[in-house]
Amino acid sequence: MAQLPQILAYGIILGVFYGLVTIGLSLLFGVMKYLNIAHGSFMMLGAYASYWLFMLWDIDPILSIPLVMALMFLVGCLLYKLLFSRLSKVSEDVRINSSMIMAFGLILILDNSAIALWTTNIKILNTSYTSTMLEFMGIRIPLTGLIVIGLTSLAILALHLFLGRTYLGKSIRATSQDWEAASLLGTNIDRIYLVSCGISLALAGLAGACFALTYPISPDIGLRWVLFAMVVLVLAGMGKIKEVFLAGLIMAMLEQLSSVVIGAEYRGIVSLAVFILILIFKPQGLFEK
Amino acid sequence: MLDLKEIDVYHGDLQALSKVSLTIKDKEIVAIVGSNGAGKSTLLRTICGLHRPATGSLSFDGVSLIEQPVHEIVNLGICMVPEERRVFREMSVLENLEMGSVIRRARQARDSTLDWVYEVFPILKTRQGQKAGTLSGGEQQMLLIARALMSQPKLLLIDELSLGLAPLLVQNLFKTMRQLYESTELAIVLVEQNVRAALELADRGYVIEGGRIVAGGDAKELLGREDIKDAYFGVAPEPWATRTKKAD
Repeated sequence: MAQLPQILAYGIILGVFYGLVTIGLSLLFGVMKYLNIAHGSFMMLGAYASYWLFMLWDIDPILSIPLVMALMFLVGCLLYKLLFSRLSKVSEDVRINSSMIMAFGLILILDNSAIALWTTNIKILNTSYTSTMLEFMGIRIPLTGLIVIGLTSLAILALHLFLGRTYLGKSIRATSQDWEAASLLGTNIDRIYLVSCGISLALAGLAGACFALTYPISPDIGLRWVLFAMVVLVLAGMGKIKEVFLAGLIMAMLEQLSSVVIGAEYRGIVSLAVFILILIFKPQGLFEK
Repeated sequence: MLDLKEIDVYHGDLQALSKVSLTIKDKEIVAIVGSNGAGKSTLLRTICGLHRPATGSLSFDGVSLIEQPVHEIVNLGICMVPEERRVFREMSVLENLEMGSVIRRARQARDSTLDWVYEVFPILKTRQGQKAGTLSGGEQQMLLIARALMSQPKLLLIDELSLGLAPLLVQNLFKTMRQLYESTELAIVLVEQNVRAALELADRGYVIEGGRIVAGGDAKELLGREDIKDAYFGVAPEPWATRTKKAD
């Protein structure tokens, strides 16, 4: 039990990371009722973008984040224009199913393209601070973990201000609550969807860049991590924004504690068990009254 | 101002409106009445662009609305208050009103429009920080009207103003609508199941039944017509009256 604070510290970093991976997914679902399960694969693209920017042009992965996010924003707009806009006229339950099938196709295309381009070999982004450890009251914390927490907090603050203070952000919230009422007031729903898609993928890009900072990259990380994100999404309640991080933390802590109690090799089971239990007993999410 | 000619609208295979023609002139208040499912809401939704007519023409100030996207129709000056109290529940009253002035032309005049809207509905000012979902039914209805006014419409379409509200509240709302109409250049179209109240308020009326306009003209005249009285004013005894009689 002596290592408990250490394990909890890692749990916090992991939890924030879960939240970061899920937030873009949740935003898109909340606004458009699209379940973009290819979100993880876009995160993978972001991670590779960050990696190659560092390898080819020696751009520090933290400095390249705005670039990666802008790039992914454009990819998101393109994704909406080419694919997702075709679903924007159909009813909401059809959107969930159809977008999921579309996104499944995207996973196959993106993941296999990544294998073709960059092979299945693991890539590690090695900066001068990658393996730096900080000691704080006997707890060792990786510097990159703290950077991820800092960047994520910044992104959430920015998103919060954007959604709460700007006309466009408020329009996005209004559209997510009742798109028809919003359009009857003159909101251009098509534009709102376009921007939301862009923001969602920009957040996937941020998650990817943070991923490249902390973990080894390979083409299959998208599918692996989107599974965690789905659990967090269900735990938080579909389409919720603020609750996502709390849900991420809860799940990460459960996993970390279970790795102590029943062994690290079984921790994957815990998240999936949580997934099933939530779907059975509280399908509307943990925080719904 | 608004001109509909021979409009046909289908919901799938079902014809919801057939050969509907009507006009709304500048600064008048028109009631469209009829029973449930007659096609009143479909008519309003067609004007706003939420349904597209299969045939017929639809124009506003000489501009055809047939190909216009919904938000562009709002920009031209038509704003609809949808039924079922569709406020943005998770947003504050003020934010709801701000969403009303999302179109560029309204955004520039937002602050002065807001002051005016608060004058019309003072209760909203006292509630402005509150989430819209926590308002009472009548307050939500006021918020919907106020929100629509924020877009500075020339033509205001109101779907079922009175539905589910207490009679006294309805009376007050109708009075406010009358004042609003008298103090502005606004044209108002009221869609109502409450036939008598709507015709008493309006200058002109249309009666719609089974997707067709079956009568139209001066509201006072319509109110006096025997066939309309028979169809909508319910001279039959209330159910509870017959029940008490049997109990005797």
